[in-house]
Amino acid sequence: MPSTDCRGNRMFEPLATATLVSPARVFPTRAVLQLQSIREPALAVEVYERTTNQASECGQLSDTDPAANRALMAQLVAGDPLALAELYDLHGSMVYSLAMRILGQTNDAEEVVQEVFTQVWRQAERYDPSRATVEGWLLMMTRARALDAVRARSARPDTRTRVALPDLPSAQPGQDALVLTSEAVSQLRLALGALDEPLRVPIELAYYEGLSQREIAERLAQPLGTVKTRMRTALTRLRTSLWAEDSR
Amino acid sequence: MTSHRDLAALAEGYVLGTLEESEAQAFAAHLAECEDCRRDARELSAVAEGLGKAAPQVAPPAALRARVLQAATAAVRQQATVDRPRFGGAPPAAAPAVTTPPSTSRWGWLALAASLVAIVLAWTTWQSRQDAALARADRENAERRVASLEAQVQSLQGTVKTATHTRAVLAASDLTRVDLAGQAPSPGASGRVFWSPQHGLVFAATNLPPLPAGRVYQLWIVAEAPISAGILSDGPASGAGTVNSPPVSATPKAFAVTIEPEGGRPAPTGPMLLLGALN
Repeated sequence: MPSTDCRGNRMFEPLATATLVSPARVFPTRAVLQLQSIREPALAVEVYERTTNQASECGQLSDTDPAANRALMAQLVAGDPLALAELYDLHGSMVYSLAMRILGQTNDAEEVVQEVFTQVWRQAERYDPSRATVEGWLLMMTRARALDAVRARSARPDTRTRVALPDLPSAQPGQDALVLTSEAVSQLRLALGALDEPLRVPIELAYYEGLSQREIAERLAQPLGTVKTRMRTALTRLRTSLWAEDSR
Repeated sequence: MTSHRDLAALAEGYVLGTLEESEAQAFAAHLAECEDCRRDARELSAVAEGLGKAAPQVAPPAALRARVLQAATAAVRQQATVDRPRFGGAPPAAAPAVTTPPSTSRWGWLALAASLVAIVLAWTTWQSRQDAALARADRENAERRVASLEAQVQSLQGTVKTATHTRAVLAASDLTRVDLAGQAPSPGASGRVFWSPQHGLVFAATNLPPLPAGRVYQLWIVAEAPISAGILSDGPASGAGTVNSPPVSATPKAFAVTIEPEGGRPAPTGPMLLLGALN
């Protein structure tokens, strides 16, 4: 099954098999206990730095246990800087990759990563599991920050509203956001690649460049109605690809 | 009124955040009452998450990790919001605000409490400053003591070395004693050199004249040319001084003491005070 590796090259290996061992799983328990007694965040991070293996090879996406993510969020709300380090080890690469995709520049992307994790540290208690998965939340913040940076860079008068992060009430009370497996993501990536250009480009302009439907219509010199229809068709296909394996 | 059909068509734009402001508000309002659209939006937001993850994966630079974690944890954390009574809400039933102004005694208590808090804060601050100052003073004291002990050890090591050398010279089988006589500027001065070709020399002088400022007594081994044997230790105030010096390869013919500028000279330049020839 063809997919792309971290450098964007096509390769014949399903993403799901190329998972990294999560540092959370290899982190020695005793060290965690010791580190938890360190109250100084910067020091604790430094100690953590010295005691963990850096597991960033090619930065393939891997499945993270939603429960583990949630536990990390709880630790973050409690103000544990080690939880932030673990969250970075789990998702830093994903955040950086999206920032790079949107900004195309390492300096700006690094800035965005820093902003996102600072926001996570400051506003951990704002995370609501019924609205988004931890990854979805990180990606929303990343996208918003990166698109802000694009707009700041282009210095063009901002006539459009900011990318508003969707504020979704859960379908039923207590129900968490849908979890995407890495298998589903690679399915979606395939489906995106398989879309014809007229269907794919509007989606990419909307997601990676933050253009409104009106702006997309102007950019592509197409009627607004056509753009809306094509985006709807494209997203429906992508959505189908996600749940193709499931019973849905 | 906008139909469900029209509103439902906004779901895609909504999850991508690309709707116009008014459309987004309309859809958000619709979401609250439409189960179907909620389910739609939920699934579509998973698609949006997928689009985020579909970006080509690149590993961030290794150095970024430390930078991000340091910067992030340095940020001030937002306090979790606490439910507090809102301004403009219905006043509590027992609120006296309508009938009577707050009594002065209540304000008095508040003021007292505030000043107590201020006093405690001031005292705590003062206390911690005192503690810090004490700690600093302690550390400075300790540093001074260490420095002084180090100096003592060094001086003792010098003394031991000198004593050992003196004993070796005095016990040497090839020991020669040379008496140095006072010369013209200081006829009353005298000195003795104990010379061992194997171990070097020990010198002691008495009744030396007072030294002008910035001058020292320097002892010379007079061979083919004068070789410095060192500067006399001990204060010139006592008019006495000693020198310990290692052996030299040349054969000495005499020993002499001159007055030289501070730090000594490689060859004698000043007036000669003592001279004694080796037989």
